Amino acid sequence: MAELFPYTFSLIGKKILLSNDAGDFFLSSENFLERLINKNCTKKDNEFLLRKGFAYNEANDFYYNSHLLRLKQKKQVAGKISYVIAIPTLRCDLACDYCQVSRASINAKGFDWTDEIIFAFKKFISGSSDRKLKIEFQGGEPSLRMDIIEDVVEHCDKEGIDAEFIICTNLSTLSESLRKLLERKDFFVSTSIDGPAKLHTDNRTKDEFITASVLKNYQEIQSTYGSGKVNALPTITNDSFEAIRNIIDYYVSIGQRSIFLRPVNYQGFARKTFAAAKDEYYNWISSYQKALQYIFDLNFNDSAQIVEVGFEVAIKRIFLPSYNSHVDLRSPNPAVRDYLVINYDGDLYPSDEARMLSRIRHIDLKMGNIVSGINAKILKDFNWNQMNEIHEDCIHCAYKPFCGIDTIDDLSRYNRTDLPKHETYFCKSNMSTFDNIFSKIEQNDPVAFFNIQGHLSGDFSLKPIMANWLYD
Amino acid sequence: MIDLKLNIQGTFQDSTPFVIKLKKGNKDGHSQKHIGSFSKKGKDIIVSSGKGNFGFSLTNDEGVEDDICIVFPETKTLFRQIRANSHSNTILLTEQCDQACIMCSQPPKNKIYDYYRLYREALLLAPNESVIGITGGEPTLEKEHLFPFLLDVLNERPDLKFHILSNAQHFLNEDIEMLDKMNSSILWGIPVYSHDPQIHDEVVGKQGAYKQLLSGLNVLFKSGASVEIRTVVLEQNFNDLPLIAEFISKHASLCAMWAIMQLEDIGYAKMNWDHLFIDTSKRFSPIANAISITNINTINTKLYNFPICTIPREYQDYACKSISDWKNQYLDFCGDCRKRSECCGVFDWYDEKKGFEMMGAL
Repeated sequence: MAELFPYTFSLIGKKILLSNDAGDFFLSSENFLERLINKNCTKKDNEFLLRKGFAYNEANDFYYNSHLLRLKQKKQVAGKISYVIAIPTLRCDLACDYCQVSRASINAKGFDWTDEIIFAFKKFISGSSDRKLKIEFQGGEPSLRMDIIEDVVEHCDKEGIDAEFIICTNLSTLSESLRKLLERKDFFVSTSIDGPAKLHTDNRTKDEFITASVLKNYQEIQSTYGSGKVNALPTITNDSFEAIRNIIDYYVSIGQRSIFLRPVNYQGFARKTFAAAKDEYYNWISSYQKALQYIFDLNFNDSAQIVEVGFEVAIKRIFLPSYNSHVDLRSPNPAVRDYLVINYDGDLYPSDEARMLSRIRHIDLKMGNIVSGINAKILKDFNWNQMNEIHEDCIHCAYKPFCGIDTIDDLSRYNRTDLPKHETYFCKSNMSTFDNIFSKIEQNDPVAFFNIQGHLSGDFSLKPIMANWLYD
Repeated sequence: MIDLKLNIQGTFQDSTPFVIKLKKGNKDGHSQKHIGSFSKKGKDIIVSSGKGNFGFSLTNDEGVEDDICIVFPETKTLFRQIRANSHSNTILLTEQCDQACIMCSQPPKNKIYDYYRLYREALLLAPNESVIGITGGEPTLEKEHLFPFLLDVLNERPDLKFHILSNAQHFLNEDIEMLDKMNSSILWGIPVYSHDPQIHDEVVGKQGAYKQLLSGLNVLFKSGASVEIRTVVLEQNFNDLPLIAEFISKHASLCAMWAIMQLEDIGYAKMNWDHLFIDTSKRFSPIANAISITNINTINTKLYNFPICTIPREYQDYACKSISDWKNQYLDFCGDCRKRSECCGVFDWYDEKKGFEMMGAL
C-alpha cells in the first residue's frame, strides 16, 4: 500500500469527508474509511488515493513533490505588501448609526494625515512594492482629502508603481476632482448602500435628499464609467430573511453583480448601540443560508449572475489551492505582511477591525507607525495566535485547510483569545458555511454546482465543474 | 500542401550532404558559403552554389527565398528544413519509438535522422528568434546526442526556441543539471492520455508507461522545465476528460499549458479511426467540464485541431491555429467564414465522410 499523508475526516450526511493539509478532499463511504484505517485498501483505492493527493509511493516521487507544492501554495503568504488601506482622514460629513470607524466630526482638528505621514506613506509604497499593489482609501470620508489622494496617485504614476485605487466614499457628493480620477482605468469607487432609499435614509443619511443624491451619484458613475466602476456594500441591521431578500432584490435592480451579506459588525460605535448583536448570531446564520439559497436560485433560474462575496471566499478556499489573500479566511494569517491599515495618525494595524478596537479602547492592536516603523515584538506575539494549523481546537477539524483564524474577531467579541474555538462566532459561522457547501457536494446538487462554478470563475456561462468528489 | 522533401537533378562537388540558404538571382552567391543563388520559372527552380548546381520542381508555385535547405547529393533529395515563411519548422529526429500509440500519426520505423552537423549549420542560419519543433518517433531516445547538440546550438544562438515532443519515458534525475541550462529555451510537449494508469498504458501500447511518465514529469518539474501537457481526445478517454483535468490541476499545475487535441487522421489513427474518433461537434460536454476545472485552477487550456465551427460558442476562444501550414486545408464552405483566419482548418488528409458532422461557415 502507498504511504499516506496526514488526513482528517468528518461525517457529512451519509458520507465521510476526508481532507488533508494541502486542501485535497473527497467524500467516501464508511466502508472505505474502515479499509483506509485498517490498511486494507484495494488496488483501485490506492490509485484513487494517489490521484487525489492523499498518498505517495516513495519520498521525492511525483506525488510527493506535487503534495509539497500544493502545501506551499496553500500556506505561503506573500512576503510583500499587496493591499494597503489608507485613512487620510477620520472626519466625515455623515453620522451613520453603526459607524464602524468611530468617525470624527467634519470640522474636528487633528484627524488628518500630516505632511510627515504623507511623506512616509509615499516612501513606504515606493520601497515595498515591486508588483501589483491595491490602495484603498477609507475614512472617515476620504473624499474630504482629495488633495492627498491626488498626490498619492501622482506619486504612483511617477514611480511606475502598478497600483489599483479604490475610494470608499458615501457618495453624498461627487466632486470634479473625483470625476477626473474616475476617468482612470485603475480607479474605482466602493460605497455603502443599505438597500431601498427609505432603509438607507433611516440607517445612514437621516435625510431623504442626501439619499437621493447618493443614488443619483451612484447611477451617474455606472452610466458614465460602466457598471464595474462602482461596488456597493450593504450593512444589514435586520437579520430576518425577508429583510435580506429585499436588499438582494434591490441590489439586482441597481445592477450590482456582487453583494456581501454580513451582519452589522460588532465594533466601532456599533458595539455600544447593538450590544445584543454579540450573541444573536443563530438568527443570522439561518437567514444567511436562506438568502444564499435565494441567490443560487436567482442565478440558476433567472440568470441573475450575482455573486455573494462570503460564499465566493469560502468556495475559493476549498477549490483554489493558492487562494490565501483574503485575511478574513486564511491560515496562517500573519499580520502586517501583505495587508495593512494605516490610520489617520500614521499608526499601523493588521485590519480595519483591529483599528476600531483600538479606537474604542477595547484593546490596543497597534503594530507600529508609518513614521517610526513596525513593532516586531508585538507582531510576533500576535502572529503565533494566527495559525489554525497549531491551534489545539482546530487541528482535528476536517475543514481546517479551507478555514481561517481570526484572533481579532475573538478579542472583539469575547475580550480573550482562549475561548474554545467552537464557542466563537467565527467558528460557528464558518462551520455552518462549510457544512452547507459539503452537504451540497454530497448531494450532487446541480443548482449548487452551477453556483460554485459561477462564484469560482466569475463566469456563469461555463459548464459546472463535475469532477467526481464522491468515492465508493 | 507544401513540399518539404524534393527530388533534385544536377551536378555536385562531392557526395557530402550540405546546407544552403536560397537567395534569388545573385550570381556572386557562389563565393559565399551556405548561399545557393536560384532562379525561378513558375514551379521550376534552378540553384547554383559552391557545392553544386541543381534543379527541382515544386507542386505549387510558392516562394522559396531565404529557405534553409539540406541537400543530399547521393540520394538526390533536398529538405526545406527551415522555411522562411513558416512558423511550423520541424526537425524529425528519429522514427524510432519505445511506445506504439493506438492513434500514432507517424508510426515507428527503424530510421534515425541523426544529421546533427547539418541541423546545426541550418539552425545557425535561422531567422532571429525562430521556434523550431523537434519531433519523432521519440527524440529523447537520442538524448545522449540531442542534449549536447541543443546546448551547443543555444550557446551560439540563444535567441532560438525549441518545442520538443517527447513521451517523457527517458528523463532521469541526472539529466536535471543539463535541462536546467536549457529550460528557458525549450517547451516540452508531453502527452498524458488518462488519469488512469491502465488506460494510458493501453493507449500508448506499453506496460508501465504511465509510471515512467510520472517519473519523467517529476524530473522535468524539478528541473524547472516548461511543459505543455497534451491529451488527444479518444473514445478511450473522452468521458474521463474532467478527471484528467483534475489530475493536471492537482499534480501538474507547474505546466505552462494543457492542449486538448483532436485526432489526426493518418497513420494508426486512420487504421483504427472507427474505434478512436469522437465527433466533438456532437458530443462536447466532457471537454466543457474539463475546461471548467482547469479554468478555475488557472491552467492555461487550449483546443488543438478543433475547427472553430465544431466548438460550442462559449468555448470557441480556447481554439488554436494548431495545424502546421504544410498539412492543413480549408474546406469548400470555409470560403467566406469570418473565423477562417483564426481557425486551424482540417488536416490535408481529412476525410469529410468520416469526420465532423456539424460544420459550416460562421
